[in-house]
Amino acid sequence: MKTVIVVDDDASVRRALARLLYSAGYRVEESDSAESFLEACPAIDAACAVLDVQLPQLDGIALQEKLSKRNGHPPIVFLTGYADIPMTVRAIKNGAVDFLEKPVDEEDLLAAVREAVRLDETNRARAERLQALRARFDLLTQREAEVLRHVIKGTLNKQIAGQLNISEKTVKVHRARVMGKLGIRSVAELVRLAGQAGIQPE
Amino acid sequence: MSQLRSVSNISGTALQLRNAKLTLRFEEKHFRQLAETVFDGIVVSHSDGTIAYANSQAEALFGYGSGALSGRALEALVPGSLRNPYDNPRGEYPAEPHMCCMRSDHSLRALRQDGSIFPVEVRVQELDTEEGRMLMSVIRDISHCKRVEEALRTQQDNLAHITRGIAMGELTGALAHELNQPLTAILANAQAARRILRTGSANGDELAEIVDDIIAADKRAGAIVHGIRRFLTREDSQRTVVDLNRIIEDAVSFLRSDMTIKQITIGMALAPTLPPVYGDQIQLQQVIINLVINAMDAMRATKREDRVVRVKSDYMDGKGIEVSVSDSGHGIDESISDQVFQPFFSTKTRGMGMGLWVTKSILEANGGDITAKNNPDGGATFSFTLPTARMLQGMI
Repeated sequence: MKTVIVVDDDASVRRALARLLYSAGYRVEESDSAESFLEACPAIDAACAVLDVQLPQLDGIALQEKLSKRNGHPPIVFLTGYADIPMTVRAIKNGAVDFLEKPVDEEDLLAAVREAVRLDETNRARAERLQALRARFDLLTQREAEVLRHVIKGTLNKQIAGQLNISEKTVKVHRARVMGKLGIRSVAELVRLAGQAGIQPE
Repeated sequence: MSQLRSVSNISGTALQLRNAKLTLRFEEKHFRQLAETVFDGIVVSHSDGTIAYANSQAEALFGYGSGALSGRALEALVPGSLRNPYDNPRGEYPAEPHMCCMRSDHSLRALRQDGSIFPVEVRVQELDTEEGRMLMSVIRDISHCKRVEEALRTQQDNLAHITRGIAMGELTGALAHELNQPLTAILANAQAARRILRTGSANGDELAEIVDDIIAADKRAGAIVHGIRRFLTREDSQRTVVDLNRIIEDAVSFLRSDMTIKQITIGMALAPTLPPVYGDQIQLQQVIINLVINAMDAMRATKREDRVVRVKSDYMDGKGIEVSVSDSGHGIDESISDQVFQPFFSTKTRGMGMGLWVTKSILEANGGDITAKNNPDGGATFSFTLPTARMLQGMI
């Protein structure tokens, strides 16, 4: 069962949305402010956050900006009592799944939540892949990683040897070990994987 | 007419004494000429209340034919409900002749022969004559002033009504949000109930709870609509005894959504109890709304965490009730501080410049006043005072 967090300062709205989502088969957590949501969020492991834009103190958009600085957060579906276009654009640009006007119909809300949950699954799968990839790169020794960063920059073995003050033959040995540990054969593949793992060229 | 001759004798003697060179002898003829020349009605009566003389202006004013007032009782000119003030003075006036003004609050009424009643201003002068003490009343019809006053008040009411519409226009977004909250709750609750019923997992208690929530949300939406309607309905001002704290709370609850949207905090410091004031509830609510909107507008450029509106109410003995609305905005520029209450004066690009002017005129119509000043630590404070209902009673 996927968990959805509903954040709205109005208890009657929160309760009603929670009921609807629950009746559609989600586990639901409630939060009455941006602050309490930020606090509760990491522990809840939600697949979607339904946020009211007009929250007192920290509003929904500011909350989204705070969340995006964190390492991973549930996809956001915004609800608003009155939408202005710049606000909507900003929210969507910042990665919101949808921006729905209150009163929201179940069709629209549940469709948006489904999309958010799918996005969350994709995000999680990508994060897992990335983690596995990083784990492979973590197997490299410091010297191997150094050689790797030169290789993906397109530096020739001879030049790498000169810059690291080692023999060209040693460079070749390090290269072979890198390819072996990562289980790849071509430099093209190496460049691609390093890019995915966020490794910068030297 | 011998009494009148004696009146003129007194005056004539006095004049001769003051200026021996002046040989003018003031006679009844002269008194009559004078009385017929002035704009006002003049009625001279005996100490028993019988009218001795009335000029033609008085006869026309009260709707009597020529000479028809003489010999009648003074009471014939006074509406029944008001006779008292005339009863007592007779025989109880101080020994020295003097002049006095009856009531200064324009509430005096007079009675025409056809039974109609009209507003008057009356001055009375006692005369010592050979015939004994007599009373001269100078009567002025002030229906015209009253009509002007009334027209002015209607204009003020209209203006207040129009500017309420403008204020409401500025709050459209906030009101939509305010109304959409209960509508969201109703829709989500109803659709949740339908899902529960369809899946056959219905539980009586749960459904009852949902229905209760729907009812509560619907009532809340209804109350919001009712509040807007009342605020916008064009009505002649109705002055009643009202609790200013209650008015402040109602007005602020109107603005709460707008404050949330604009990220403004409100601090209320209301006196635990306030003596009632006498005024128009909707217009006083408008005063608070205008001042709070004004305070919010002044904080557009203020940092979010510093945006605070403070509303305070206090009772000050002898001065009445003081209410202040403070903000932490840009304050009032010295150079314009004497213009903020002028009509069509605005520092906002889209402002009409009516808000504070209407606010001031409403307060003045209710016997109050308003001032504006900058706070020592930034922002501005608008404070107004209103007399309590008891204070107003004392004045009349």
